[in-house]
Amino acid sequence: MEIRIDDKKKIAFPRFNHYGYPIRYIVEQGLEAQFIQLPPATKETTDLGSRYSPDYACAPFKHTLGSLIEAVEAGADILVETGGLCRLDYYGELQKEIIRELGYKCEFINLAEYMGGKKKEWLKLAKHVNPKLNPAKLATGVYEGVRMAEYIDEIEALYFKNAGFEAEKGSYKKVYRQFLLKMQIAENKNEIKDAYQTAKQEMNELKQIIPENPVRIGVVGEYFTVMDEHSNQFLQEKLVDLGASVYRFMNVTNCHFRAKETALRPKIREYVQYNMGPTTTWTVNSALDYAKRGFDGIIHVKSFGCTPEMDAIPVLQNISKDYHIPVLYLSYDMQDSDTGLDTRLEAFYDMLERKKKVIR
Amino acid sequence: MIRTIGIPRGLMAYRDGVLWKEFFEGLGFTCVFSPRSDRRILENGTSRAIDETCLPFKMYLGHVMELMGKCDAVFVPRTGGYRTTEKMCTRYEALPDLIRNIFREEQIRILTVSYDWYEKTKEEKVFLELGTELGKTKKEIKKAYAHAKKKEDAWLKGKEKAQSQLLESKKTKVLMAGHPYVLHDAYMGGELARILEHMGADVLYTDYVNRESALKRSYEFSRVMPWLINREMTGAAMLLKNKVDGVMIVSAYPCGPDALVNDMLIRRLKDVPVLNLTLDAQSGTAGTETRIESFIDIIRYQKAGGYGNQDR
Repeated sequence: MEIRIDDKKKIAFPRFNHYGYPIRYIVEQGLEAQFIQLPPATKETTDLGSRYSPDYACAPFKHTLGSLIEAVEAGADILVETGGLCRLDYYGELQKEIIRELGYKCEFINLAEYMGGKKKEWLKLAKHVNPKLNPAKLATGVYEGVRMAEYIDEIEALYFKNAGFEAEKGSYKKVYRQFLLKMQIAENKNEIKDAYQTAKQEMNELKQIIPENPVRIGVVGEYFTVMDEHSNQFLQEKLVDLGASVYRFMNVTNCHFRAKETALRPKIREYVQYNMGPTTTWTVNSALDYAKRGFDGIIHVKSFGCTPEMDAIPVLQNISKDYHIPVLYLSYDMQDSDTGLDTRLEAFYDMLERKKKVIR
Repeated sequence: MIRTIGIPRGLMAYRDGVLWKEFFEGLGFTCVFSPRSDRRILENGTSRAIDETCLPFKMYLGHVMELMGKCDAVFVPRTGGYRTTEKMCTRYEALPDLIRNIFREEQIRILTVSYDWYEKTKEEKVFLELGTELGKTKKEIKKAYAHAKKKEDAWLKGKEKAQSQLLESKKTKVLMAGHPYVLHDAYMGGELARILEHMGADVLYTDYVNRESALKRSYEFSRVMPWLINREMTGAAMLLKNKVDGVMIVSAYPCGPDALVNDMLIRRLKDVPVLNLTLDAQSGTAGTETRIESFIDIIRYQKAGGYGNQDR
């Protein structure tokens, strides 16, 4: 039997790394609706997704479909899928069709229909979700949610940069986890800010042992797969465990709130004249930046069949040649085991470390 | 100084090639097309491509290589699309930069022009830009563009007329649905058409349907679908589905837009036999031949009162 504590609508988004927390904040504090916080993705999620997807749809399609199906089963009234500049724009329509075909009766909002649309339309959509909507509260909620995403990005970057060198095993992870937990339950801006300050301070105070030849690796690649830990099989975590310092420019903050495509492109003009696709400029720019800053290696991450990122590869190959920087190309689909990835990463890391010892 | 312009016989050349050729020739340039696709061209292209890229792009690289040394510049436009719901696959946005990066050592000269959906431009303006870069006056360019547009229209009208006459035919009619550069490429769709014709079927193409009406129909298929070519393809398929005996959806592995749209299209083509073919760099046609043969058999059997007609 279903017991309704309140009449708020239950909204679910596909999982996307830790960005579910800011989205939850915006939904609960801004829209004043209920958010379905899904547990971390499992093998079951990807199995569900790939079972009902077209075979050579890209991996994010399968991951998000799996998440959405789990969300309906968890009781969501409204499913939301976003739009974008590549195939992502068509995800919603096909996923809606698939979910209908499976017999689920929930509502499906495809944000691709609203992209580039007027503010009025968005407000209408928000009012549809919550008829008692308070627009002022929505604005504050969105603003604070965006701040939360920025804080998460900052702490995450700090964690992956330093955790490889920690003196006491697991000390960084403890702080990081504590921070994420607080983000998951934060209900106002002070809680967000306090948690951020505490985490940053604690991380800065932790003891590090920096090895003689520290290995710095830059991770670049496709929007979803490079950010979503489950999709890239905890790539950055694995690198940190090997003892590397890991950088990743591509995150929601840098992609949406700060760096503009037109501002980044002049920096890569010796390789690229035009905008090559949704996130290719970010990929090429950060790869070139890492190469110029003397990083030891670059890892390029994408899902299988991702056209824009595939088109970045010839440029990365040229950068690799010009700056003598090794690039490891990883193409993800639905894997059952990550042993293959482990082996490749270990070999890559060992190669970088040895290269450093011999040459310098 | 550019005198001869090379046009690779791949990708959008199968759709807009006539327009390009007439435009350049109207301005007084000589146009060279690369030869028809064959196995050697594909192999050349494959050797330079990232192995995951789509088959038509590998073919395109081969065609670019064919033109090296035979022209002063290779025409590689950047065609992003004119509207948000009528974009091209992102590979077209990357095309000039891709060719430049892949053939960096060869230093081939590329003639390019760029337009994109967020710039809100028109076709005529794009050609004006292209002509200006070639050092022609505004008057000359406008004249050449108008002339080229007329020629393209005449070419399209001819194809449309021939196709509508085919619809009257008594033979088995199979509609090939796909991207123009897959359907008409001698090494990809050309082979399939040959097999179909060999079996006594008439072959129709989705890109020989009036572009405007197909585009209009496609908005009933989907409001948000972002790709122009898939719109023309699905629109034409929806327009013709009741006038043909079977639809053969042809796509090249791993085409991004097709992967999603064809899945949807099959759901919408419920009342007509559909064969979904995905092409890759196969070295033989025996496998596809068998599949097409059984598809034709099914169509004929159904027409004679077999499958699916029991309830009638």
